[in-house]
Amino acid sequence: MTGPEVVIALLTGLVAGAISGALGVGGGAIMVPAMVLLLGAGQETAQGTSLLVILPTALAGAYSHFRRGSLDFNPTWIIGLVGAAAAAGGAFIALHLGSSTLRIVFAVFLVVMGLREILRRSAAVEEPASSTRS
Amino acid sequence: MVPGMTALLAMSQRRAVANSLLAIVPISIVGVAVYYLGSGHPQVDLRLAAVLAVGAVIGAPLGAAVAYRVPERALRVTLGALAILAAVRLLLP
Repeated sequence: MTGPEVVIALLTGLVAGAISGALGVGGGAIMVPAMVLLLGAGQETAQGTSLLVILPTALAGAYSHFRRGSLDFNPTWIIGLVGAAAAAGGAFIALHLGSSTLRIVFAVFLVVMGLREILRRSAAVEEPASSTRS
Repeated sequence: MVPGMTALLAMSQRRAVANSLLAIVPISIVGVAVYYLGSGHPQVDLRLAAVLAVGAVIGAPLGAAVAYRVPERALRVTLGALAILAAVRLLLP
């Protein structure tokens, strides 16, 4: 990696990590396009690499919430287990689609996700009540 | 995961965000394994991942702290707009 690429990668990680910690998403929506468009990675490599980065990111974010007492291990381990099985299937399919198809599929996913984030009614309406309760 | 947790498990938004981060851990472990081993050559760039992770590990606690101060709506609209911009750029030749 060249010097500018290291800087771009650091900044990309910072933004993706901040969004991940704030909203509970993995940050892949930021990292994958940045790797493909700014760092010249292939679509598959960008997605696989993003999954690896998400691991410490999610751990760091989860720990930060854990210190604030917001973690419930009980329903979450089931979600993680079922999600892991689904991830294996999804990753296998992604590897066999071919780069250009995968890139289109990923872009469509980004549009759907982006529109949903923008259009959905904010759940923050319930927040003032929960934050004043304790 | 977050909408499912708030709707089906009656978690508050912040609990759902916190727990979805926890659930992402096993999901990404399995995903990485398949991307690394699932095709002829590893589709995971370890060096790039290390640099991204340095930025991300610094950013994640910052983001979690910001989430307790900035309206969630503003964060979501920003993320949505970035995602759509990136998608358009990915689809352009």
